[in-house]
Amino acid sequence: MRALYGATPVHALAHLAALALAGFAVLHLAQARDAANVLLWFVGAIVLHDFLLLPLYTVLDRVAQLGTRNLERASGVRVINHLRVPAGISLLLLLVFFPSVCGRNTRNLAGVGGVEPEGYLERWLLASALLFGVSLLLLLVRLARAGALPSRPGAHAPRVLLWLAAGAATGLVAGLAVGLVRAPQVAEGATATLPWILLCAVPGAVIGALGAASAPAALARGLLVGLLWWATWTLTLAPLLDGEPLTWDMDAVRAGFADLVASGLHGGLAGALWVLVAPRLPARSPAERAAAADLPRVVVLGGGFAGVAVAQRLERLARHHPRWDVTLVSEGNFLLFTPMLPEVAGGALEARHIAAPLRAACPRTRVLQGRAEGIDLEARTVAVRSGERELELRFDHLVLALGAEPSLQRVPGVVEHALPLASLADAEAAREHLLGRMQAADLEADPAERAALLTFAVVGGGFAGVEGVAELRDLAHRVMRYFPSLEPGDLRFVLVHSGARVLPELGPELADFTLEHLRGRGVEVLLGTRVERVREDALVLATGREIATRTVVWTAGNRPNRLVEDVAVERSRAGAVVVDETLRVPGVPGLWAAGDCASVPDHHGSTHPPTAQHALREGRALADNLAAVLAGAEPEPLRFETLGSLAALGHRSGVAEIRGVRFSGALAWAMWRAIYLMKLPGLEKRVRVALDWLLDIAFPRDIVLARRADPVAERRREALLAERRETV
Amino acid sequence: VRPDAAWARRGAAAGLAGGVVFGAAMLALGGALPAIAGIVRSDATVVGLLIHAVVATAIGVLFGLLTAGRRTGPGELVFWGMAYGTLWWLLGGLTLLPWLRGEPVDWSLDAVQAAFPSLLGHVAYGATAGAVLGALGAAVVAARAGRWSLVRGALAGALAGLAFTWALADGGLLGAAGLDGPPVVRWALALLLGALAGMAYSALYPRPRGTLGPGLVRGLSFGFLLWLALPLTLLPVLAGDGLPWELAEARERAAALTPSLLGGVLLVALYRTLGALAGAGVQDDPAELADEGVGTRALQGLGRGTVGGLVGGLLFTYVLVEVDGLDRIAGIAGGSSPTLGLAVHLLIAVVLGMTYGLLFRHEGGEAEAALGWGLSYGVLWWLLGNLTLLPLLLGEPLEWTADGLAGGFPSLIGHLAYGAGLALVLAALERRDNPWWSALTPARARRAELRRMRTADAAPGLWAVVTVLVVCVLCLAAPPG
Repeated sequence: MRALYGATPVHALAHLAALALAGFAVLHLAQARDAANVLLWFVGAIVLHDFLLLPLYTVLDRVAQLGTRNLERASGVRVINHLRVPAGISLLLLLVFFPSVCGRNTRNLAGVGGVEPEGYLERWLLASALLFGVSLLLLLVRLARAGALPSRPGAHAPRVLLWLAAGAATGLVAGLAVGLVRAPQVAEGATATLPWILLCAVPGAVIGALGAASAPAALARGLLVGLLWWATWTLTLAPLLDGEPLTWDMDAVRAGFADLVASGLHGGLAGALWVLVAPRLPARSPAERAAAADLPRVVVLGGGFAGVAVAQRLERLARHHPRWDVTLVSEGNFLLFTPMLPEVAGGALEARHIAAPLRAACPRTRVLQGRAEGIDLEARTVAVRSGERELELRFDHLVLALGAEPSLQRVPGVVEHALPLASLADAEAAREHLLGRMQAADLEADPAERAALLTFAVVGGGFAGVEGVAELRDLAHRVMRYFPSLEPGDLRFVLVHSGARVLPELGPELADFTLEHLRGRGVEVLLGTRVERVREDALVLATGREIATRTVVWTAGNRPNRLVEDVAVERSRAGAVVVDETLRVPGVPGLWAAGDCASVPDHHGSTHPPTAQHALREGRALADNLAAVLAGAEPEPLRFETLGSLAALGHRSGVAEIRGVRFSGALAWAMWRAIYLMKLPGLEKRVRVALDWLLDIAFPRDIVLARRADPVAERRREALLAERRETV
Repeated sequence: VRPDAAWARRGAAAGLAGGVVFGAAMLALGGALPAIAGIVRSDATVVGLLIHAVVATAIGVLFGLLTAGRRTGPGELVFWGMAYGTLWWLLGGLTLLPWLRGEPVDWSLDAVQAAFPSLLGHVAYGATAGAVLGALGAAVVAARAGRWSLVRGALAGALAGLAFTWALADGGLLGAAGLDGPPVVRWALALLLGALAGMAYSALYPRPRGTLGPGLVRGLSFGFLLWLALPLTLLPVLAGDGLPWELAEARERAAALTPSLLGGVLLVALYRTLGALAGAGVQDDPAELADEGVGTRALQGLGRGTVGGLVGGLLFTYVLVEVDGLDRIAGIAGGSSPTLGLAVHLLIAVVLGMTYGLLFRHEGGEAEAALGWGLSYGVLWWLLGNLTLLPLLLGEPLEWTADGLAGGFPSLIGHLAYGAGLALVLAALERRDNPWWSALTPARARRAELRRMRTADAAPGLWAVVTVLVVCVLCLAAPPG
């Protein structure tokens, strides 16, 4: 049967039954008077459902998944199904009773079914509320079993129950006292009073759950809870359970007024008793508890995308309990949003606006600005230099997220004469350098020197190189008006790339578009060209050709941070720390790595590329796995595919590839801005960058040179000093 | 601070002062003091007065001991007193007094309405005791009103008084407030009494802290006090009409309750606005500003308020569906279909949620504070929205009379559910910023604990006064049987 049909006989029978039912319905409806209307309704329903409702469910389900993901990870309970199941049944009920719920077509319904469609909306709402309520209750039970319920201040999960129980007991005692006075006043006397007394446990539990309080505050709390309980129970739930209509009118108030006085008195009395009970319960102040706990120490080295993602995720995972003590060590005290760096070089954005302070981004993490200088895996310590201080940090878990740095040593002269584009200072230096050269050219009489001053070479055809040359060109052209002796034709921009096509990450079509676009805007693009050396006055190519220039921006080649070379672990050919799919360094318990300094295998047998997008995902996965390991669970392998890549090509143009779909031109540029603006860390910075963009439309770019020293001279001095240190 | 004899002495004096006010009211009303004398099987007024004075002093001592050393200012003590007085009304007036007199205890609406003057008396007792306790130096957070804050209060109060009188005149309800004399006298009284009320407020709360939201709830409670003091006491007594505290008379003056409450809210809003305007140019010290800028605060508050407002709005929807209230709301948009009504209702719920997010930012971080502020905000919007703006928008007469209050009661339940839902969601969202254990340093933990304690010592009194207000509204609104 299975071979013939492809599934079990039960499946086939169920199918047949469903088809028979559908056939019956079709035959039955075909005989109806308004069969055409039924058909129209049916087709309409299909169109409405598939084109409007289905996408809506999908989006809602996605949102719900995002909302419940963290709780699912922390508890191992499938939280989303506790929303899906009641929502599904509720929607099914709505679908079945839709005309009655909406009160439409009542004439036909009453005529055909003989049932007056009264009160369907109320009943549907009630049924939905019940479904969600039961589902919530089940979820709470499952979460409590998994030990994942958030606790009240100063208490762990079982303590919450203790406080609730103590509150409920207090409520019962107060209820007994008030109930004795209430009993003679109600018609049924003792029979009606016993359930009332028992129910007093509920407001009592609420008073208990709200925690300890001073005497006046407890009395006030009692009054408030009493009123709330009266409105909830006497006026709403009790009539609902009795099947009476809910009116909340003065008749209901009159009927239940004795209970208002009783609830108020009960609240006051329970509050007064609570003042005596609460101090005897085991609870300590939050600060004391957090300090007393011996938390596992996690040290994260590196404040880039991966390191900050680890710290932020650990903060989120520990929202309800202090679970670990995290220290983030970073050379800068900010997270740099590198995709916008070329725009800083181009003067479109203010440098500080694309950097988020680490202390703001990770408010519950210890942030230490300093440089890690040595890792001792045996003693489990990291030596950190912070200014003049030398510190030793002990760790239980160490995360290497040190990132990459530009590799400038391979080609002679780069260190001395080229400008890298990897940090905020680099971007600002590049901008000032270009403006300084234009200023010098404005005065220069010698045509050859003037041409060299106005020739700007960028080496590297990746994102940084392409975006950098486009932005620098925009800047130069937009400030031309300030230099009266210069003509737009005097400016020369050269992009040198060793590969066969620019932006190799984006595929040949977009690379071709980019090439055409850049050439169309007057940028000379030299493909398949290597650089032999960089001189102060020229860029020397491997072909022997020399390009006379005073500006070389170097974006070709990065290498993992040098500190990881000192750690005795396996490294890839590029020098990155090799980790397994769960981001752990094999053979070294408690050592983890993510981001550009790590070589992370993907499930295709390759490794994840060193991009911000992957560093973020790696950081989050690492934190999840670290939390799992600390909780005694198994870490999960990272599964992530590149979502897409975007590059801005200067003034209102760009290229993008999202999930295999390619975009170019103004649309891609708008997508670039929208997506990166959303990804920029921190609301405040987003607003600032958006304002920068807005102002950039309205006003010319700034030509203020704020740095006193000549950037090239400064860079050369730094390089010499670094070299000298290495020699020593 | 441990309660000691000094606190007890202050409490005794405060209790005696409150007892004098309550006793004077009972003398004016007649009949109540012989009932108290019934405890010792007598019916002499003097005996009743004596017992009353002793009891008033004794519970005043307890009040002094309960509030000993709490971080409260003089204004908070007044509100604590009002709540404390009401608790004694429930316990003493409605329960112990009949029991001691050997009568059956009766908590039915009729009995409670008959004891309505006693409720007002207890509230007046508590307010007086609180004020005297503050004046005797029991307020730990002692801040003296400067000259300018008194001027500011007088200006805000005068403006609020004019608005109050204009609103009553517009609704043809001047008689309810005892302001139905000649126009010149009426406006002069409005200005004078408003200014005095504003000065009283500024003396009680010279330097408000925190966001505006709790201030508005304070205004609501202050408005309740004003209603009791002016249209229900001072104005009729000045006009020689006697003390209209009996339910039938109080119901006639119930129309002045809503404008009094909203007047109190307006007074505080104006007082704070004038303060902000005066302070904008001169005393803007960054050391006193909040951690985040106004931009971050506003955006976060608006975003979270939207979510909370939607949740609260959905809870409210249940009440509206049950009492068929959606059609009426649709009238705001010129329609009458429930679907349109639902859309308008949810839109309003979201907008009000946003205002709550801005006005109560970081005030309701704990569940109790969230409940307190949320329910109070619900009551405020019941008064302003359901009883005032909705009739205005629909071109109907204002619903401030006792019957109007009764008709609006289902909406009050909806507003309470809305406020509670909104505030609890917002508290859950705000906890992301400040989990209870987040303080990295002991100093920060101490500061957070101090702030928490300050709220715990001052705010519950306000929430309790709002509860008292709701009970009072119920007594007034229900038609006597």
